[in-house]
Amino acid sequence: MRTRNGLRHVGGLATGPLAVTPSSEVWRRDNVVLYRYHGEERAGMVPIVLVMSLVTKPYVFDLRPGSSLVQDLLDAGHDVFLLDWGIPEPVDAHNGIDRYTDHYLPRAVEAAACVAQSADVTLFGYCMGALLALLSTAGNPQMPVRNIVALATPVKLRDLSPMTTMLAEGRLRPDDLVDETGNVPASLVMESLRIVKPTAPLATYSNLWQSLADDEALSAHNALVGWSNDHIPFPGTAFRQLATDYIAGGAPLGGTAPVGDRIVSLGDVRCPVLSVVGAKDHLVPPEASAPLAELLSNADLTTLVLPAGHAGLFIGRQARTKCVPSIIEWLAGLT
Amino acid sequence: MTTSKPLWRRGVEAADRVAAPVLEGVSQHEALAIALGLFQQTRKAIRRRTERTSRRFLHALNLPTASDVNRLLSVIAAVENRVRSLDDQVKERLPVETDLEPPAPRSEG
Repeated sequence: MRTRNGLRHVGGLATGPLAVTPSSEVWRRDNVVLYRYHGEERAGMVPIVLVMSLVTKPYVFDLRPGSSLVQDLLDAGHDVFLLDWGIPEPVDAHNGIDRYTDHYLPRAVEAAACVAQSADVTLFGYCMGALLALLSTAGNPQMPVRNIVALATPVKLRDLSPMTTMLAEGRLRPDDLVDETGNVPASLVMESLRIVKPTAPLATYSNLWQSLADDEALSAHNALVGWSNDHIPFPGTAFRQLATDYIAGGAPLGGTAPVGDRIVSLGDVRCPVLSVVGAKDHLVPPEASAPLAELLSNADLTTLVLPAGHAGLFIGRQARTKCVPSIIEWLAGLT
Repeated sequence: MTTSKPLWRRGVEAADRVAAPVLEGVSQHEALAIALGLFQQTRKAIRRRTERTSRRFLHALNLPTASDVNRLLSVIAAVENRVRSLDDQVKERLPVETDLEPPAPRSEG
């Protein structure tokens, strides 16, 4: 079995289908696309808009059959939308953080509410996508947001990785990391995350060896590892702002954050927020999300700490038995 | 259902427990930060010098260089960005409905 699966793995045949839940494009601006997943029941619940980080691809929300957050939410009767930022091109190097929080997000939320014929939506952000969702909601009070689910939200960005520490201390300049396209290359994004846990490949290869004995486990392993290596470039202007104002400048820890040419206060988020934190998350450790309790002073904040890693919050057995049901339960309590 | 881990797996995890703090300590060490900073600066200096030399040679043959192409790319990107902002201004003056695309089925693979 291991030999056969080993050959399939080497030949790239062992991953299986990814992101298979059917969806339709309902809105588009530049490279940013809003998709609506096809669901059997849309029981009058508040539609959910999934918001991804700027450095990874969003198909992880619908990773594979049997391990799909999208499918779990659809099964619970939700109307699910996905905001796909697209793969940054040279033109996107001009996009600042405000382009995402004040331009794309409010318009996509409005489009989702319009298509779903709902008064408001649930914003469901993951990693930096959660920070973008919070900043966008805080800075755009007219945005129809009923509540926010924030998974692995980094608000204390300085010590997330050796690279962020070097940027904060001025040992690295943001411009040193930007390539000729004006964006931070995907390979550099991946290396900066890899250095956080240098022994991660050891765990990955032992997981792979164990998975080779089982077709399903191998497929699940390859899907997750494939996604975690499938980074996209970071838009240059947004990166410079993140490095200067957030990593080195400490925003939004003081309560406010510069977004474009204005200052946004997370205290202006006034809707219910569920913050989900992974106790074993090495990329966004619990300390990086902890200040949310203080920053979201006017929001009804619920914090859920689960014994999971970064992606384990919504992928894998534990996610399906603990995390996702807890989120669905929280959403049901507010509907 | 709980299954006990195989012996080799427990060995790997034990090795990981020992090696991880050491390697994480190295990755956050002052010396590594300095070395990476130096490496980055040296790499940029070498790249600049190589580019200067090859540019002189290629321009002598009346050929464009990578930096010429990159400069053109960034000009095109800036123009494209300007078109985007003009497009935004036009779209903001149109009704919201025109922003919605007709549904097109999709299934990522």
